[in-house]
Parts: sequence; C-alpha cells; structure tokens
Amino acid sequence: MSDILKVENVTLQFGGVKAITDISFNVKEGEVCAVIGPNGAGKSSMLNVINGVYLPQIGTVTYNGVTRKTINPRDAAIAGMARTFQNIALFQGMTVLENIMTGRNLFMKSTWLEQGLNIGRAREDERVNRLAVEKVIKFLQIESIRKTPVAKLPYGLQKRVELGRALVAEPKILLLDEPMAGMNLEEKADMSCFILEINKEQGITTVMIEHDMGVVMDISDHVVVLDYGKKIGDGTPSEVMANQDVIDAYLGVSH
Amino acid sequence: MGFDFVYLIEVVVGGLLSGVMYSLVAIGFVLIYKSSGIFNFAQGTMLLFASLTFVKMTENGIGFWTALFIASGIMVIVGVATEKFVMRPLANQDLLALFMATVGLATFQEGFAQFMWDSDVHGLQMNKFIDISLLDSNPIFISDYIPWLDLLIPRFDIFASLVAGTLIVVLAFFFQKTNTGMALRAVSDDHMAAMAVGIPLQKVWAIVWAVTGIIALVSGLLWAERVSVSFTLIEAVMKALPVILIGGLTSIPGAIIGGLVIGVGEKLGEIYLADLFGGQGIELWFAYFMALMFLVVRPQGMFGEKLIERV
Repeated sequence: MSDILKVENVTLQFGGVKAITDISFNVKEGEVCAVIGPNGAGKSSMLNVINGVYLPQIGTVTYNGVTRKTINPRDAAIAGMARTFQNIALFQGMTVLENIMTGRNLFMKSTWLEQGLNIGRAREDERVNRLAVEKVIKFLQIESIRKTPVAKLPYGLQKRVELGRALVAEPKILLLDEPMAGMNLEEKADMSCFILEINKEQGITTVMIEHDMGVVMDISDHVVVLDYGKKIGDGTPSEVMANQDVIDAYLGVSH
Repeated sequence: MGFDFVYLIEVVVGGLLSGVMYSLVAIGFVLIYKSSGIFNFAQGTMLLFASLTFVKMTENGIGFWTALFIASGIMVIVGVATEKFVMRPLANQDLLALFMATVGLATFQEGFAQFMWDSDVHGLQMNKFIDISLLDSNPIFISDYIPWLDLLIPRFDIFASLVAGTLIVVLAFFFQKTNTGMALRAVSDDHMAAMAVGIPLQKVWAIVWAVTGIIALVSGLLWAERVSVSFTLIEAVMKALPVILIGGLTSIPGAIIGGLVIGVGEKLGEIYLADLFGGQGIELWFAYFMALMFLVVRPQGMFGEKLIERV
C-alpha cells in the first residue's frame, strides 16, 4: 500500500527549545500508526505539525501526494484530516448532537438564508447530515445522551463524542491525541474497539498518540517511538518492543 | 393616600421597554466578545457613525427606507473592514493590544464621522418617517394612554422596544437555526477545535462584525429619537456596560435579562429611592450602582462563565 502521509526531516523549535528534531516517518494508507514516547517527547507537537497548527522551521509533510511545509487547519480539514485533542476540545455550550453536527459543516451546501427559512437545499442538508450524525451516534453507542450538553458528561464519554465529531467528517485520516488518556479499563476496551472498527470496517488511516503500551501493542500496525524530540524507534509493535533504545527510554539505563 | 399600584406598573413597564433597548446595545458587545474575546470599545462610536450616516442622508432628501438600506450596507462594510484591516492583522496578539486597537478605532470613527458629516446636533424624529400611529388602528394604543389597561405608556417606547425585540428574536433564531450560527457558537467555545473541523474562523469574525454594524444602526436610530444624534449618543451606549456586568459578557440571554433588570431597576430607583439618595436624577448613575452591588455578589455576572482554572 502507498504512503498517505510522509513526514520528512521535521524540526520544530519554540524559541530556543527544540520540541522536535529532524524526524521522518511514513504512514501507510489504511494502517493504525501509534506515536509513543515518554512525556515531553514531542508527540503532540508532531500531531500539531501534521494538522497545521504548528509551522515547523525545517522539513515537509507530504499528505495525499501534496508536499508542503505547513497547512491551515481548515484546509487540512477540507483535505480530509480530522482530529481529536489531548485536552478535550468540545464545544462546551452545545449538546452532543450539535457538537457532532459541527463535524459536518463542510458538507452543508445551503446558505444561511435557506437554513433560517428552512427552504431549498436546507432541508436536504438537514436530512443528509442528520443521517450521517445519527449513524455515528449509533456506532459509538451514545444514543441516550444525544441531547445532553457535553459539559455535563463524564470524561470518558466526552472523549467518545470528540471521536464522533472527527469521524462524522468522513476523513481520509484520523489524528487522535491520547484517545484513552484518563480512562478506566472498561472505557479503554470500548475505545480500542471503536478505533479498530473505524480502521478495519471503514478503512480510515489512523495516527494515534497513546501512552498505554498494552493498547498500543494490541491495535496498531506500526509504531513510531519518540524521545526528547528525536525518533528512536520505528517498526511493527514486536520490532519496537525488542529495540534496545526504546527499552532504555522507557525503563531507564543503568550506569 | 395609599400606594399607587397603577403607577408602579407604569414605571415597571416603562423600565422594561427601555430595558429592551439596553439589551440590544449589550448584545452588540456580547457578540464580539463571545466570538473573539475582544471588548469592543468602538461600539458606541459605531452607533454614532451609523445614525449620523442615516440622518445626513434623510436630511439630504433620501427617503427613509432607501436611507435605511444604504446605511445598513455601509455598516456591513464598516464592520467587515474593521475585522479585515484592524482585527485580523492583530490576531493572536495579546488581548490588551486588541482592546487598545478598538480604543483607537473609536477615536478614528469619532473623528471620521465629524469629517464626513459634521459635529452638529441632529434631531431625529422617527414619526416623520414611519407612521407609528399605525399602532392607533389597534384600540389598545391610542395616544400614550392605554385605556384597556388604564396605563400611561409612551407610544414610541412601545414601538422602539418592538423593533429592538424583533431584532433580538431574529438574531437568536439566526444563531440557533443556521449553520453560520452554529459556526459562531463553535468559534466562541473553542477556536482551535473550530478550525480543526473546518470552520472558516475569519469569515465567522467578519459576519459577527457585520451583524454588530447592523445592531449599531438599529439601536443608534432608536436611541437617537430620545437623545438626538450627537456625541451624547456615545454616552447612551455606556449604559450598556452595567447591563453587561450584570448579564455577563459571554451570554446573550444574560444581555437580554440584564437589560431588563437595569431598565426596571433604574426607573424604580428614580421613582421610589430618589429621596433616600438625595433627590431626583439618580437615574443617571443608579444603573452603575446596581451593577457594582451585583458584582460584589456574583463577579462573573448572572449567566457569565465562572472561570475555573486547572492548577
């Protein structure tokens, strides 16, 4: 399979601090790629470079055959990139349904005038997009909280809603920033199932940052390991597990 | 003499009516603050600029509806241009810098309005243009006296609050029912997430500024009837500040209720508490006093978000 995403020689600095140093890796179409590493390794920064939130000083990102240094997050969304955030970034003033509906905003063809008066293309828009949203709600088993304001939901469910908002945009690639952080075992199992199903059934390429090694080894096809902003491992889960640098980074080195 | 209950109702209704107009002005502030975190100091001069533009056109023989249409167009352009040339280049700067930019904008608009038109005081009699005696066809509204309820209420106040109320309802509908409204609410909750789902941040900002321009025009015209079109109009806008303090800068329902509370409160204060505070005229400052008292109890306003920060 071809590479849908190629990160080449990316270096990202904040003032004098190097968050990422000369990192390259490829993501194949249709795979689950996990980016792992200790705290402060530059994982989230990497995701933010791919998504266009940060502009790297050096290096390029090739997505879908187009090479560029940076992209505007909105253009990234138009090009089929959807993401979730490490600290849940839901729209707190909205219900679950409304939050997921925002993920469909690029599919709306009608103008505000049509929507306000509920005429013309607005009805078709409402029908089609509501259908897509309901499909995602059913898939994530959150039917019962459809009308609940997200601020009232427990953390695990908020993470699920955020996944729904990304998924409903019918992305080519999903970027998930710690989708299971702070979850209990049961919630993690559910989330793993969702991610796997999204990947296997819908064929959506997934790049995921995750801390839980068990989960990472279970569901990913490809693991990239970062430490202090550098890449120290890249391969299948079993290859990475056997990599001495990775073991040292996680367990420490005896002197 | 016993307590004049009818008079009390008149005072309350009068307060509610002027409160609606405070609400409208406050909504102008809230919209900009919600969507971009900026407290728009130029709101008052936008109001002045809008009504001055309108008045000058009608003084030069342009008909009411034409003038209203052109003035709306100009305010949309002013709003969009403000976003594009003043706010956008400053995006991601410190909020204080953005606030200072609106202070500069206010000074510029004040000078520009004088340069374009003049600094005379212009009277604006709405009933020259619109026949508010239309209301007379309804037997309830004959003159300022409403025999049906046995109350005395100024007709223009009813008209003005009907207009302001309608605009508020239309706006609320716009923000609830349309995709643009949903985008605005998304932007006001989380810029980063809004961009990530593909919402055009700058387009939303431009729309908000344009809508604010229209609000400035409508509220400007309604206020101008009472205080004439001159620089005192800017002070009228300052009455929206206590409204925002009470309602919270982030809440449109808060702005509406805050406006009503201030409207009623200052009228009641003027009528029933004036003697305690040393005579008539406390209406001028009583609103600010109420806001201050309110702040002591609830610093975030009635519906404002309580800021909780993770430590």
